[in-house]
Amino acid sequence: MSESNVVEAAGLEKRYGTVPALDGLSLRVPAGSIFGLLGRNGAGKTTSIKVLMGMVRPTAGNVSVFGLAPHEPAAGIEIRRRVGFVDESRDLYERLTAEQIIGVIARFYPRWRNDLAARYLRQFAIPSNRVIKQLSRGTRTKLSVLLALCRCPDLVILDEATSGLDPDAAEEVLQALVSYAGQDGGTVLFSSHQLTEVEQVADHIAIIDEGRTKVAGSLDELRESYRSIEFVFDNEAPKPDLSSPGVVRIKSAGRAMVVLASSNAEQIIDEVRGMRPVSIDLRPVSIKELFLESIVKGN
Amino acid sequence: MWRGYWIRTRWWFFAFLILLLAQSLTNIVTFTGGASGTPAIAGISFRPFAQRPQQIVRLSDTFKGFEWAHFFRDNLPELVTLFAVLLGAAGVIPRRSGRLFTLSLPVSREQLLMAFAVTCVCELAALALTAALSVPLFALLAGQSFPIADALVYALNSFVGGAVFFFVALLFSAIFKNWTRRAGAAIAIAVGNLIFVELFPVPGAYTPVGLMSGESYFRGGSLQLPALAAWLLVAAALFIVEVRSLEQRDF
Repeated sequence: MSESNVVEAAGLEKRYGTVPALDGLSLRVPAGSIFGLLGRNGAGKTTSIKVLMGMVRPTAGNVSVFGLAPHEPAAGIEIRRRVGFVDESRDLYERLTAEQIIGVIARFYPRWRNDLAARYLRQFAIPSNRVIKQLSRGTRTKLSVLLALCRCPDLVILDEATSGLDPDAAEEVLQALVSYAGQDGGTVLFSSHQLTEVEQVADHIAIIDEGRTKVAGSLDELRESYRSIEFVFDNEAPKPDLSSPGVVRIKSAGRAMVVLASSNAEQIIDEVRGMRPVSIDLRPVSIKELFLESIVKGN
Repeated sequence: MWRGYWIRTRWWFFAFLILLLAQSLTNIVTFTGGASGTPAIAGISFRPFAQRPQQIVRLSDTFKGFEWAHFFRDNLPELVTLFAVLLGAAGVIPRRSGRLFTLSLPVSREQLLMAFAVTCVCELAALALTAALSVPLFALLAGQSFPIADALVYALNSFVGGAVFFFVALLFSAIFKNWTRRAGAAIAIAVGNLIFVELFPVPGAYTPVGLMSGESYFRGGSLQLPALAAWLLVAAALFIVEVRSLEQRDF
């Protein structure tokens, strides 16, 4: 593992029978980053996270968290000691109260901070004596975040943590994560299909689809390097195979041809100039566009 | 984890304990015989099953016979088996209520299974022991007497049989996703064992259901220690199989 990466995965595969859930996924999560894992439902986000947590054994490929292999029992324990995890279902022990679950969980973590737990109980307005079954989804999420952060983890992993939350509750959860990453220097890896919240808090992203990484990198670098180039022609736009490096996708419709480029926009423009376009429009790409262009649509 | 598993299962434990204590008390209140010695069992055949009402009438001449026929042969093994199956079928990794949360804790799956198994086995032992000892205690209230040593033997028999069915149900929890299928499969095995005991009483006496009935002890006064030890080994083997299975499972 590179010292600067908390999570590294290369060529990661997971098959359930003949169905691939991960199909050569690659991932590098830098230490201290807030890393957004983007993808459609069924893209492989949850399976990736389960592999990192040692809940699912990969079929092939390499994966490490803190340089340790999560599917090896002893390494898995060490990883889980250093990771705060919030799963999609926020499925805690329903018959326990918040106070009881904190009491049960705190014993597993030597760095557990009771002062932080008391602060989050107040800040999130979590009723400590009510059984978890009676708590709303939003309050359960906040309790899950409390349980993840109070153990003082080196890495927090959240799977669709804000889905189904009202904007107010989602904002509270995101602020707690940003605060954790900012003040404590921790790393956050969260999966989501909420593009706005990813843009709001993440500094690195990976877009995955069909179990593969389509785009990955720092958000600033991606914004800087990705460009959408629109060429308009007198007649019907050509459908060329461009040889310039950096071409991600070419779409031709009517007189217009749009090229999504991950780099080398100028070289691509020079190549297309030979086809005599009447106008060229070069503009940056939003994360939403990047996401929509990266995922495979339909067949 | 012990605490978490205890909190998860304690209401079942208390429900079964109350049920068994109520059954024990009801039996004593409804005892209408007068003798307090050992019943004359030499002439009583315990099989076939259809003749059980007549056997119970004859056994009920004495308090000891009445208690064995009602409580230690029937009520205690049945409820301990049901409790064991419910616990085992619930599984170490719950289908709901904290499934991934449990797996995200910094413990090995083997440790999770050990904590769950020890918690449940202790509950089984406490249930069998408390219920069995209630008989000599309640007997005093009714002006009768029942040997504590006998109650302890019946408790041990029920506990060992219950432990076997617990580990059988636990193993089924690795095979079936549906809770009712897990419990149903384990109960089917218990019922199959009961039928086997009825059809083949001699070998059947060494099976979990046969041991739980305490019939050999009731008839001959001797503890079937080798059979009990053998079934505890079977329970341990089932546990090891479950550990291996759990380590390989994806969640």
